[in-house]
Amino acid sequence: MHPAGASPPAARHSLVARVALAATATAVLAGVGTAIAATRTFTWPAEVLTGGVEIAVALAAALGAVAHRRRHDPTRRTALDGRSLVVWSAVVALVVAWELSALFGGVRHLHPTLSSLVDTAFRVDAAKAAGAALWLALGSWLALR
Amino acid sequence: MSPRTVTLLGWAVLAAVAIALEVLAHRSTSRLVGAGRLLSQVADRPAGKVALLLGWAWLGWHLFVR
Repeated sequence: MHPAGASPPAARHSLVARVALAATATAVLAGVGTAIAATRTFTWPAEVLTGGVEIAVALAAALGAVAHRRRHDPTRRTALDGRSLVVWSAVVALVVAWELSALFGGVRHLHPTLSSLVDTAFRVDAAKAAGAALWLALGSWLALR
Repeated sequence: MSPRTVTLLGWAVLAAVAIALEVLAHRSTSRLVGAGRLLSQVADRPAGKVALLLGWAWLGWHLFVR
């Protein structure tokens, strides 16, 4: 028996495990983000680091897919919302159209693309580290879900 | 108005549209789902997950390598 208000050992253990997992994930995201921010584009360290992260995420996704297939019924996945798919696809199409018009519009300074705007922001190392951490978080979410 | 201002204004309008849709999607009466939930639904399908991972890999390479 446990006193009223006290959490049982299993729940406490689960909370500790979650906190440890969150701390580890944060440390990995911060570490990889900082390492990527320390590299410069068009160099081999950038290729090795970014390529290594991509290979690791692809491996995690492949292993996750095998485990998922063993555990789950593929017919029980969530339904795709058609209306929302159309609306968000229209937004993506507008973004692509605007990106292409900027890309082929002439001088980059006068017609900034999304990439050139992001490049400008990434001249600040902290912004590049945050961007890389966000990118890795998105890839990890995709691979592990 | 300079071409740069027009282009930046276009990006700002598109960002505002995306934010407005996301806010709309989070209202309880909305029949629209947010971008995150839609991505989640797409990633539930093997082909969708592969496509999203390829897009993610391209994005990383484009932003941090080339």
